Amino acid sequence: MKKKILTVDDSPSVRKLVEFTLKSKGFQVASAEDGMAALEIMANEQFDAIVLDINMPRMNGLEFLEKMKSNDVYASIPVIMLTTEGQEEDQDKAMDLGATAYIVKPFKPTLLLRIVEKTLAFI
Amino acid sequence: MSDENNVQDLDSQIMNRMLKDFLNEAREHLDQLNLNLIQLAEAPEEETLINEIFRTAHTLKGSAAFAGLKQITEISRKMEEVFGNVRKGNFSITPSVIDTMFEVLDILNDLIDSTATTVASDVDLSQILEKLDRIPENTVSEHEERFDDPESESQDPHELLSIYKLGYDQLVALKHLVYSSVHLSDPESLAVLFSNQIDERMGPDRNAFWLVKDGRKVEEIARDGKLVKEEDRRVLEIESSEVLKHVVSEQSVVWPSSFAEMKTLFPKFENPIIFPIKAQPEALGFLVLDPEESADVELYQFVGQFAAMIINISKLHQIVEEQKEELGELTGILFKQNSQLASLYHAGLDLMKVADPVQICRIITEAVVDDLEASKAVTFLIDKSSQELVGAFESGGLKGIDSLRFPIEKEKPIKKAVESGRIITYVDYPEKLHIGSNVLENWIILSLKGRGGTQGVLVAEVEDLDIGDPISILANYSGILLDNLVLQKKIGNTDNE
Repeated sequence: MKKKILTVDDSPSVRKLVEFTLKSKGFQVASAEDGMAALEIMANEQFDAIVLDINMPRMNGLEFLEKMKSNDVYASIPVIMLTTEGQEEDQDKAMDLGATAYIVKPFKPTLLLRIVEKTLAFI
Repeated sequence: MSDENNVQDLDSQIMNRMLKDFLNEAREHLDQLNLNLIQLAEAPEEETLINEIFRTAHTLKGSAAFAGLKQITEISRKMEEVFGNVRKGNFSITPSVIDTMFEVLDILNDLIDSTATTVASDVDLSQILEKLDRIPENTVSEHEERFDDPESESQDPHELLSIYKLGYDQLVALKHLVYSSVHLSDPESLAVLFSNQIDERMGPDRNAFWLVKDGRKVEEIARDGKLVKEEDRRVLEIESSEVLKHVVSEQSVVWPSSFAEMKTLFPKFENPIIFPIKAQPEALGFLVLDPEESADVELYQFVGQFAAMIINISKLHQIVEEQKEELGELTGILFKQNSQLASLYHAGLDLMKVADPVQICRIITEAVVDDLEASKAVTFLIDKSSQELVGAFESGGLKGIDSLRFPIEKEKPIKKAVESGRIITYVDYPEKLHIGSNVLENWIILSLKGRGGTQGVLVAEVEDLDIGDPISILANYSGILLDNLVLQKKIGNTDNE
């Protein structure tokens, strides 16, 4: 079975790059343009991991993270942050809320792949 | 142990049985050869006799080889070879050839007898084999005469012509199929082409081309040379029929007699044969034909294979096209990102050279419009004492920014951006944003924030949210720089006191 990953980012270009990067290694990828859209998709589909931006309209990454981690159904899905927010406080906040890893944009595709693969190896 | 013995027993029983069968058969062959050779001595040019001897020797060779009898195999192979050459007219039958052949029969008789009595025999064959090898030379010198036209088997020339004509027509039909199919790349058009060419140029009275749809169904795309309109198409569930399951997953040709269901499945056909369009892991569809009587089914089998090949290629073609498009799009994205990074780098270098808050605002405002392609941008600095925004710099033609000053509270999205420290966009608040006398539609607001708090606000009009990331990198960076300036000022002030 192919592992399924949800990428959440408001930038179409970043969504496309993440999708391409992950698909090249055989992952199945779905994408959402913000936290709200992500929750809608997750209501109908199951995912093995989520790649999450912070700065997004409607519901940003941290709000989304808080919501999903407090929901028993989604709490165990690993979340990898992929964001321009390089400040420590954001990083701390995301890790406190239960994120597994934190990557600062612009990102190296190989790094993203390695982190996703390692994260999935642990579950 | 006993099992193993039983197996061995069984093996040797089978072997014995086979050997017995072979010996009986071989004796019959020898009798036949004997008779034919006697007849041949009377009529050395009689073709039917020569052919018969050739075939008998051939059969004997085959069954001896199967029974593992090397010497018999070898000697009958030689005999076959000699008569093969006679058939081709390489040389003709002379009394000495007949003599040699009788000698060969004697030796074969001996070999067969010794095999039957299981007396291990190793007859020396070298002499007779050598003699057989020498036959051509001897006979050519003995006999100058040759058969005139060895190939002309008494074939009726008209019949021959009609066979050639049929073969030629088939070739023409295939040629058309090959040439016209190279120009098409989607499976449905190819289905129509194949159906059309079979209808017009080949024998079958009826044909239909079906393609697999969504992996679970098959759909009749073309019938008797024409595209079936979408609303008229027959669609069948693969699971609902043994025949369809067989064709799609087993991918073998299905004959009319194989399944009783064939008739009900294709009611308009009399004797439908189905040829799968083979692919991995399952067939892409199939071709149904009602071949004419005495049809050359092999030809249609070839057409089916060819259809499979061409449709497979067209599928690959489609995939390649899609990937090419995707790669083109990605190259565009990467190119854009690369140029964005380059401009961020240069803006970063410029920012390091300045120590005035308004200059910092100028650099990022210009970069947002000139490099990141926002249509308009404006930066404000926050007056902490009055909690007001003070216009610092503008790019892209916003009016009255120099003298603009208003409370953070005044615009709800700006207040939200300052309070949360996050990007706020027209997607969050689907309404126009008023900056003095200017009205923005696709706006984004970023706070310029450092550790000490928010020092300013950047507002930009953008085409889409794609440049949100590079703009926020600029905003983060300038936020920290502004913060440091404030900090330095504080230190400077305390030093002076």
